[in-house]
Amino acid sequence: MIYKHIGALLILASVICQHGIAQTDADYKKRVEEVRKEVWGWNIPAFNNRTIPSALANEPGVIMAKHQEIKAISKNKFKFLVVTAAKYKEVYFTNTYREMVKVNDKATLEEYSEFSYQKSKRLERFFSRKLKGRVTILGIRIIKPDGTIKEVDVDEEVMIKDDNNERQSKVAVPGLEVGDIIDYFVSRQEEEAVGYRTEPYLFVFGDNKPIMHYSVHCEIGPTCAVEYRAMNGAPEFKVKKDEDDNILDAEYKDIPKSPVELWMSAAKQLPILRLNIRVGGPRKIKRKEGEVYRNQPYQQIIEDTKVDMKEDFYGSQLGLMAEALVNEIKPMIKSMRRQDDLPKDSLPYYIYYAFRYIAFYKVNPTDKINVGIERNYQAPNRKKFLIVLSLILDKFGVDNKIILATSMYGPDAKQVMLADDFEYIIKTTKNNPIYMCAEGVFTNCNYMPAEYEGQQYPSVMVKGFTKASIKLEDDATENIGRSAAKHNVQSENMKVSVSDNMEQLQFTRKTVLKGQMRQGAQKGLLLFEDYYEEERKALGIKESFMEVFADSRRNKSLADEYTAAFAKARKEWKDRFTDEISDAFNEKPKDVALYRIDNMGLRHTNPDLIYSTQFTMEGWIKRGGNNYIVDIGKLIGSQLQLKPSQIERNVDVYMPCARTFEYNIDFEVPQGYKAEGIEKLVVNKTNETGSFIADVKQEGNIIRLKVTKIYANSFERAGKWPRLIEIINAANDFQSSKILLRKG
Amino acid sequence: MNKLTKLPLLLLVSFTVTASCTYGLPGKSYASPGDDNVVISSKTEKYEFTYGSADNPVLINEQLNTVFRCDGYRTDIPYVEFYDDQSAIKEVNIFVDGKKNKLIRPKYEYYSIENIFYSDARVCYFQLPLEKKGSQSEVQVSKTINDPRYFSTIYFSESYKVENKQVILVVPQWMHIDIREMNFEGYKISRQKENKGESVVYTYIIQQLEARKNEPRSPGPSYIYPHLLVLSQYADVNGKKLTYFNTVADQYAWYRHLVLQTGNDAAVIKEKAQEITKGISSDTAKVKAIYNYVQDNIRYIAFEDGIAGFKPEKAQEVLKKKYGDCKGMANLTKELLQAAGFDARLCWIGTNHIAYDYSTPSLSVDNHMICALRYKGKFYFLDATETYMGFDQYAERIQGRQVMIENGEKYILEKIPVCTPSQNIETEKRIVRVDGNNLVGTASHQLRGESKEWLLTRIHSLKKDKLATALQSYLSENDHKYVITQLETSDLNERNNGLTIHYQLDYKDAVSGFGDELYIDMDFRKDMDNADIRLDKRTTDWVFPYKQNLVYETELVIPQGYKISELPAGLAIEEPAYSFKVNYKAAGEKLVYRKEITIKDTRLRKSVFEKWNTSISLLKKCYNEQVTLTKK
Repeated sequence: MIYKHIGALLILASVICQHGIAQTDADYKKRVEEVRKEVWGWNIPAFNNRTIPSALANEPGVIMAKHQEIKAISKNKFKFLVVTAAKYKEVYFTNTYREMVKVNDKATLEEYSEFSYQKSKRLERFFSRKLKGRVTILGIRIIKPDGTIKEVDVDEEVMIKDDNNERQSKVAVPGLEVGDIIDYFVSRQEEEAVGYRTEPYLFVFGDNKPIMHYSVHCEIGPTCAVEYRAMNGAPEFKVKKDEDDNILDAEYKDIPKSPVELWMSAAKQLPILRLNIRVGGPRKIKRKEGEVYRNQPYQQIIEDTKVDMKEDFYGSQLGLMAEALVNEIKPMIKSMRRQDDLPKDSLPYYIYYAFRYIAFYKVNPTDKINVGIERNYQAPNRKKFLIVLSLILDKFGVDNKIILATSMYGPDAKQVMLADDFEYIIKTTKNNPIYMCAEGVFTNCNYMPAEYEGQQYPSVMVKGFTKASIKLEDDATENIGRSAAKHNVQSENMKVSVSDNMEQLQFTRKTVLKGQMRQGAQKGLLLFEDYYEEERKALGIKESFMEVFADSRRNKSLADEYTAAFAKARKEWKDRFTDEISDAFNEKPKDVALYRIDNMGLRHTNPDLIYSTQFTMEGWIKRGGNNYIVDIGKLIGSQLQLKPSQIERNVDVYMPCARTFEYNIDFEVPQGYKAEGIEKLVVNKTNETGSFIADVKQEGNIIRLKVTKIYANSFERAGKWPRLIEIINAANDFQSSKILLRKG
Repeated sequence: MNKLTKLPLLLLVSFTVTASCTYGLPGKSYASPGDDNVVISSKTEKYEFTYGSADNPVLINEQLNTVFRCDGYRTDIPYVEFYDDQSAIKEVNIFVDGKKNKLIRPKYEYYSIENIFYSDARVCYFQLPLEKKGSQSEVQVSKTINDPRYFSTIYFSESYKVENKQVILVVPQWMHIDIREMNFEGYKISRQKENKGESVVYTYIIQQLEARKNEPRSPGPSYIYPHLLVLSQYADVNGKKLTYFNTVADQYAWYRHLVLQTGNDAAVIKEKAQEITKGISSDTAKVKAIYNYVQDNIRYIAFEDGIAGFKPEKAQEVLKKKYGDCKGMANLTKELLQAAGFDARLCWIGTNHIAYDYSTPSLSVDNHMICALRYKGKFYFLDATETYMGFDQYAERIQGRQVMIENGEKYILEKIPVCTPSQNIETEKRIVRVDGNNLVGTASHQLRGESKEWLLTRIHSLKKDKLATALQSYLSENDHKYVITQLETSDLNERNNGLTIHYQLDYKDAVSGFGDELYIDMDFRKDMDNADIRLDKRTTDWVFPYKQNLVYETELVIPQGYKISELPAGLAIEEPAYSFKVNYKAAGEKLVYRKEITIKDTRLRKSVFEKWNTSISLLKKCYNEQVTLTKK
């Protein structure tokens, strides 16, 4: 289905709109006719082509031509408001996307067989009299192998939403058959008032189909500024003036199918053109009207980011909020100091955890009761969260700066185009630096998310603030190193025995997750009741909210309700561990006898997540006469298996982080049996990308198996891929290892 | 102080964004249906037949009053009420803790149903707060159904446990209905019938009714939940008799008047029929060609659209558009066959999701349309929505179902043939020898009927550059050590013959050598090894998608210098609903392993779950047996 295409287009074209009008049917029909005539009449030779090269004949689908046209024209207008009149600027946007695809199989036919789109949307402002709106026009033609062109009557649609504000419809494409070419366009037209912010456009020169020709054409009026950036070998725009308008054109031909999906960073690996149109706006990032800015220096984007920060500060009253929070944290610190003399260098940590507690853990009587797993997945608005935290630290005399970081999956820090490309990280600047991030409920102080590792970043410092003003200054660049594989560890420690009936393996397992390996499992396994209580005590907060509620006449019943909600969450807990075991071993356990969290890893001082499980697995021990064969390789759990299409690779490898997997397994040989074949378990595959090492020894009736798999680096050049495959394959080969338990 | 206590809330609320969470919205706690935190303490459903307008002379006014109670902790629950082109919601009143709440604004939207391109179903929904433990919230909904034909079932079960429910039907003397009580067994439902003025009032009361539970592979709700079938027979309105579905003949007449409005273009269809059957002389080949043409060229798109939900699209339109729903495809098949000189008719049928047959005149009886061919005195049924089923093969969902066949002013009731599991046989034969630690050799598969349909539907949904890889993944069960080369298949678009697959096999590390012994797992396809049923959780029968007949055979050439030292015992389980047979047979230098799993009845009843689990346990035990070869 084509939903994804239109969805992508709408993302590219979407703007946050303030007012508009749903068109009358007559207006709409007139406009549809004009747009169809114009788009089908585009003089782009690629759309006249009817043949694909023989090399592409076996592709399920080929994008023969793709063209996107952006127009942004603005003009000044007077508007009469309730008590006054104002000069006002309106902008007319059109974003038209046309694609011509050769359909070579049923799956591709299915992909293009239905279109679903927002036909119109009323976008209104309270003072508007004549409201304008957003209209989307669809055109579809089918080109038969004999060259005949059949235009689809898209009015033969079904409405899936039809009210005063919005109309959405669906069209099933009639007459489309394998062997046809489908030529369609989606044109979104909007009329906007200035005072909004456009979303940037993204032209990605890559798809899951080969693209024979891809062109982009932009006409931007003189009252708009344009900025763009060409990344990863994307074609540059050719820029020219047509009267006062800026005309930008780009073209790219013969683009092969995008490479394998595994361990990619598309923003760094696919040719991409990014374009942004600015028409002023509430964000006071100024560009000169009529100018075209190509690959702006990142220093400019830092300036923009500072403007953004200030807008967040003023708009959300972050200064006021920070002061109130300081007032809340102060007595907590005082109380803590009374119980346990808080050392001076612990203050930033305490502040961070107190702030995290207030944001994610603290319960107020008016809150909705939310103690289930969904609570673990809460995430803050990172930027506002960290600005407030920076201000709080500042108020407590903890000097700090804000590092402007970019994700491994986004552009490099020096390739940024927009302030939104930056994420924030706090760094304290005195003594041993402490980093603070805002990933979520379980983010520890001094934790650096892997996606920000391995780059040099600019930074800014808050040089004083009041409730109403803030001063920001540039600061030195910061180098964030990469964490080593030894810091990101999954350690499985297992005692495995055979059941009395010799049909199951019994596991007693302790799992330790360190560094980057930790947060996902914390979200999946921790219970709010437990982590709330642990953090409350760690922060020196005397009474739990349950105690406070129980003592309150008004909220007494709430304590009972929370007790019921906690009980329900705990009842569902076993299923979460069962799922975890199933995921880890790619096999559902027969039963789970024990599941327990030994350490929640909530603090940097004790950061590992440790949990224990006891369960049995069936089918991993098989009888052969009087003897038994044990699938001992399966004890290391499921391992990455490459798809055939992933074996060949000529693009670099972006893994989440360098990491280590350890398996310390004690296998108990049942009485009356002797183990054979353990010497075959020894493996040592080591190269510059990592290692897979298995060592074994037998002590009495215990076979001690130690297996370590290491991915040494988070990033590898494409040329190293075969070496990485050696490690992946060694782990896979080990999985089929067996030992014999011989009777006698 | 007040300011301070509010700030953190502000902080969290203003900071919290939707996380990439599959469990729900962070920051909100919604009770899910079936949740024992919430019960329906009482519900009253009142249905009253009244006079309507000239267009809709008889209406049914529906008043639904539902009181929810929170038993554990405060929460919000989703309240959902459906309506469609034939019904309307007139008023919704919401009471929270006894007070009318006007701030909650119900939303009214089209309801999107997976795999249905368009449906007239609409939904009215909102979040209903339950303010604290013990508090109650009530929703009162007034609805109108415009045509008694569409008022056919009243279910007692709800998404939450019901403590007390009343269903009241007020039937004026001028309205004639028949009420059938379905699945009442095992439930305490009291009933009362009394005359009140000019009406008869039927009252049903049920207490302590468990919540509906959505379980995978369950029988359709009409098999398992207590409900009423309301059969609107006729009405005397202003001295005029309005007949609805007094008999099945009335229902047929109504269907027929709709299909007679279709407006097929005989000339266009005849031309197409001639094109499809050109050069074909035998009748059956012509029928197959037409059937296969519709299967191959018409994309199935589901429409459920009020009255249009009963009226087929014109055959020439379906032909032109290359898509259609079941009615459109059945009508096109029928028209093409008729144009080619065959006696073809439309048929109405309820799939096995529905518990009723045409002994009940009601729109609830059927949900599908197919085509019947009468040839040499026998009916054959063609359902082109089953894309890869052959002629005279039948999908489980229609097998044994009563079918209403068009026959001029009358109709014919027939039954779709019931097929044995062998229709869907899936065989695999491997001939392998030991090569070091590997098993190498050849493998051949044959798939027929629904097992073929299942596989071909899936692989044709993949792009053709991925098809070979997908087929290999299916055959190797994603085991990268099961290396397949020289893969050959029969025509993947062929419908009337079985699908055959041949390949060379190199199954690495399939042989475990210890000392003088070789241990070999003769069966790496452990079919049904995870098929045991959780007796503590499952509440409904299990329904298999189709009758299965899996026959796997592996012939192992005993390596020179080795002999068989131990053969596993095998297994033989024969039950009315299924059978599992595993045996090992040594024959000279060969060892033949044969496994046959047959699902004879697709409905595995709760009463046999324990026996089934025992059988699965024995099957698993059998899978854990290996053949031992010892050096001579």
